[in-house]
Amino acid sequence: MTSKETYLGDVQDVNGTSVSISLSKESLTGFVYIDGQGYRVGQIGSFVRIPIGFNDLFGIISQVGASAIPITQVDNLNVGNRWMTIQLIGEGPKNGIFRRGLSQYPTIGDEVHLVSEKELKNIYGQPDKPYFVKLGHISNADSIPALIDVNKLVTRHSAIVGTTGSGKSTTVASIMNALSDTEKYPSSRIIMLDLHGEYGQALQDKSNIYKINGDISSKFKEKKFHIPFWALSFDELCKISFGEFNNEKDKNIVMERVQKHKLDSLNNNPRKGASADTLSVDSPIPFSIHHLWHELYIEVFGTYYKRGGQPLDNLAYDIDSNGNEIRGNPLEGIPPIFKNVTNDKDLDAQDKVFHLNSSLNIGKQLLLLGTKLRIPRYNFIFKPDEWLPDANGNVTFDLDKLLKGWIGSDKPITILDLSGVPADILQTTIGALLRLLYEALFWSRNLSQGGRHRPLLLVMEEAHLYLNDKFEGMASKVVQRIVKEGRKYGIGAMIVSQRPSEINSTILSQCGTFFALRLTNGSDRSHITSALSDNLDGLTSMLPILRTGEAIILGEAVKLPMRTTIEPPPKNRRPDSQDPIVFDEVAHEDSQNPGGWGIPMEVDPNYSELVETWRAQNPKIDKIK
Amino acid sequence: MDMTQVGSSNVAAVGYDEDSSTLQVEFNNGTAYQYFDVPEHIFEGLRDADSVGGYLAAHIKGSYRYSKV
Repeated sequence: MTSKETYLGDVQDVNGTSVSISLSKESLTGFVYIDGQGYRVGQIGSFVRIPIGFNDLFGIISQVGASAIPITQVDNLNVGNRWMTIQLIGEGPKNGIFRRGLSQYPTIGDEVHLVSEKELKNIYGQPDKPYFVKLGHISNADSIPALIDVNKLVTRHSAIVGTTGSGKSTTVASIMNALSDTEKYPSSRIIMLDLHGEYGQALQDKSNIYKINGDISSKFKEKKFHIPFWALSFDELCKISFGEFNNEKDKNIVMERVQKHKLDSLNNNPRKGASADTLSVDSPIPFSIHHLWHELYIEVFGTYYKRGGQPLDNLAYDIDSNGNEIRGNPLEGIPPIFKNVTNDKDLDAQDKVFHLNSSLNIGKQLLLLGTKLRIPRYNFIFKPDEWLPDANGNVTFDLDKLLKGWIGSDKPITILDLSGVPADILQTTIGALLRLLYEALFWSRNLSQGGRHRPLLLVMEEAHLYLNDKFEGMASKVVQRIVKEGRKYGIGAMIVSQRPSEINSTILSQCGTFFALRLTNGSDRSHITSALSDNLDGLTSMLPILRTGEAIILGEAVKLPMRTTIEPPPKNRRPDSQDPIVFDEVAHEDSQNPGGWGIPMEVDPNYSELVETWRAQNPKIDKIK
Repeated sequence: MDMTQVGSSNVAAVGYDEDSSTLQVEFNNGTAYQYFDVPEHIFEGLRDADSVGGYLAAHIKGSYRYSKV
């Protein structure tokens, strides 16, 4: 026997990977000293060692006390309640390197020992290999760093889950800080979908921020976020622009028209890689949806005079007060106005007005699209500045500029601040955005800037909003594809959510690494437990009692499941979770908040400004210069 | 707007635009607010106060409407 003081008890029962142990009388004091350091015996989640010949087996304590007694031993008064169940997890030669997996099992009577901090270090290892990043330290063992393997973290996907206030955003910020260390990883490539604009502050010197209506002169130098509509696939475009069609025929006609516009554009402006033969309606070729809309609008709502020639050449536009025909303006989304149908007998045949009688039944869809072309909050899709095609499909910038801005910039992180995306198209927008990135990196897999050679990590905040199981969202479909196939093409997903039970279970089960923070809700917890590949019930039962900023990291990026205290970034580099302050904790004169329930209301509150912001759909009132 | 740095535990800088009577306050945490229709003498009082935070709490917060910028 090597170390009497670490001795805990003996193996009594082995059942698969779970082993029952009877504790010895000596260890009952509950406190053991090794090398002058105290250890509590029988802490759930702590490690034990079972020496077998030249090897040590290691396990994690999952149960202690009465319920850990094997049924056959209930009446054995000698040992009483002094039982413990452990889950075996791996082995290693004495003083050698720990490995997951077992080559042999313990048998009855084998001694079980406590694992000291020194041995723990051996298990977790302290490799100074650059592909490990340090996120904090093992809880209860401050000297042991919590290291995660970047290779596995990125390519095998990961999920960060935890209740609101459990330190999720801070954990994400910590990971981002570690991964964007430009000395270690000069070309790391990360895209964050930031739904509430929380991360700008935390990562301002390491990231480019793209925001709808972004203002380059603002504090964070936000750039404008665009998704050109012409880069979307036909289905995505329909969801965003036309909505549902009444029947297949209408859809096919519109599809044909889109294809025709794309073809014309391609003929005007040959683009390398695309040809008339291979062009499909989904090809990312610029075309003017504004002119398509205008054209269809005329066909559906137009009236004409029967004056010989084609009806389209004799359109009966209404006349405005200056005597001009009201032809509308495609780019502004302003429709033409037509004369009403008149079939009066007294009129000359020349002046009779007839309907164009188009077989298309898409009036509602066109009116809807017209609204979207006019409303400023859709400008990021329909009027994407330099990516806005003219009538012939000419654009100032092509997609390369867009992608370069997102994944090829000088800064490691790109934050896409989606806080201004209208809720009704959030799912589709995110779906389209992710599909663009996926396709770009998938097809460019042989190039130095492609996904295989410069992998991309996609961080998806508040994932339950768009990866929900309940509705067949486009985002959910794309992310399922990314988590299943992204590994081979260098696209890794990191899913962040406070409500894992609402996330599509295929997506969650493909995540190789879990950062589980405090989770109090039972259904969320069971969802996570079932998605975990390790059979570590003991660890997951700790989820409701984790401290804020503490996480259980388990899965492929770590050697062993570990309970980790995440090291938060410095105070001014923490994400701004932006909870409104109801009553400030500090005194009025020190408060950095101008509002809340503790401060009297101004004498003459101005509600017309409140309505102004709503009507303008812009939180900034006109008065602010 | 020209901002004047002030020494305070919570306020970083203050500024004033005479034309629109707008007072801008920047806190140490980086957030900035514009108070509207503030008379110039209030701004001067704030700028020259011994305790900027105290003056802000006593004469501006709760008296004028504002917007985050």
